[in-house]
Amino acid sequence: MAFVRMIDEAQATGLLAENYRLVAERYTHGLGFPMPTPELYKVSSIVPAYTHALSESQRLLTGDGQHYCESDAAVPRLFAGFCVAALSACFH
Amino acid sequence: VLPQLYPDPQVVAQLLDDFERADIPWPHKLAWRFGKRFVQSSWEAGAAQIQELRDAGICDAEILRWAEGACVQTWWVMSADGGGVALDGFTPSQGRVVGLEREAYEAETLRTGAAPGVAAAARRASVGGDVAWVEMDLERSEYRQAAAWAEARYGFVPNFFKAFSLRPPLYPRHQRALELLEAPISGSLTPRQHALVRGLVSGLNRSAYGAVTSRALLERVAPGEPLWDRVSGDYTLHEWSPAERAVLDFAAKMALTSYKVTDKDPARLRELGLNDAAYVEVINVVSIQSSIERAANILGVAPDAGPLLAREA
Repeated sequence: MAFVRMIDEAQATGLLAENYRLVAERYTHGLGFPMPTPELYKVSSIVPAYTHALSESQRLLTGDGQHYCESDAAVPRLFAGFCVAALSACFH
Repeated sequence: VLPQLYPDPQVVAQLLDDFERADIPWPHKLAWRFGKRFVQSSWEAGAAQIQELRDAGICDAEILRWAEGACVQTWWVMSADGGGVALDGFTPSQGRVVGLEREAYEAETLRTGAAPGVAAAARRASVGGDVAWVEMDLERSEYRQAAAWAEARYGFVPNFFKAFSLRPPLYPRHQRALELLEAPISGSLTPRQHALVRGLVSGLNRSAYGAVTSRALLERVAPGEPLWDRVSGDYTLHEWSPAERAVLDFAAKMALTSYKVTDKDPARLRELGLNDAAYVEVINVVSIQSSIERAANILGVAPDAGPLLAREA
């Protein structure tokens, strides 16, 4: 399905495996239900430095998974990001 | 998140169809406008838009959070599109409904609003500071730490660092992004191909901020060749090697209409001897650089005194 070879959780080792684990943990914590590592984070897995940077971005944006939508005040900032996705016609 | 915010499905549909007429709170609408400008026409932003947000009671630190969110989302969106990842949890039939049939988009008119091949414009003359249109606090310890890192690496503190002084959590991510952008890291994309992608993206984003570095990088990899002029204008008018042309075509597609990327795009690069790592490299260079340049555009970050290239490189 994906356009490029991706390294999945079972094949990942070292920093890549650690990033997958942390990303999944943050989503699980933030969303309140078990969440595996989204495929999005695996696109760049054959060049792990990019996956690491994406994981770091997710950590910073969500405060280590503490806030996804923690209050009404957070809604507009979520909207700004959501709008980018919607108007890019990115349905992922 | 949307159905939680707006239980009425008609509001969600209206939002996606015509957000200006949607029955949503005013701050939500302003955030949507901000995101729309970020993705479609960041180069048209002016200080007046920042002031409009302030007048609505939104502080500069919150504006920076919106910019940061749009920044990261840009990277995620382009990675997802470029990688062709499956929609998590969607069945194939649901996927078709929401847009997995990418080739159908070839006939659609959806666009990000940018026309290809436009050279970086000068920063808009607008009321605001010399560095950026947002407030700054350069006494904060996080800023000082990031500034010291930049001073050691570049010999000066980039204006982007100053512009985000009220949003210091961005610094580690931004520093890493700059390191990743400086040169190809997989060894699969040549330095020349990498620099061409960077110049092209700066042109497409009309980024006066990004142009300083992209231009210097092109001059570094090909001294004396007018690559900046060729790639920041309409690159299709010039002759390129087959591999360079394929890389530029793919990078332009990523920057303008990433939703149109299909499996034919990596196949085309493979035919010309480029591997998947090179493909991944282009995806990330386009997405990371676009996220930074669009943020710089929308916050009115003035071009730096020099390129963001490590002094020892």
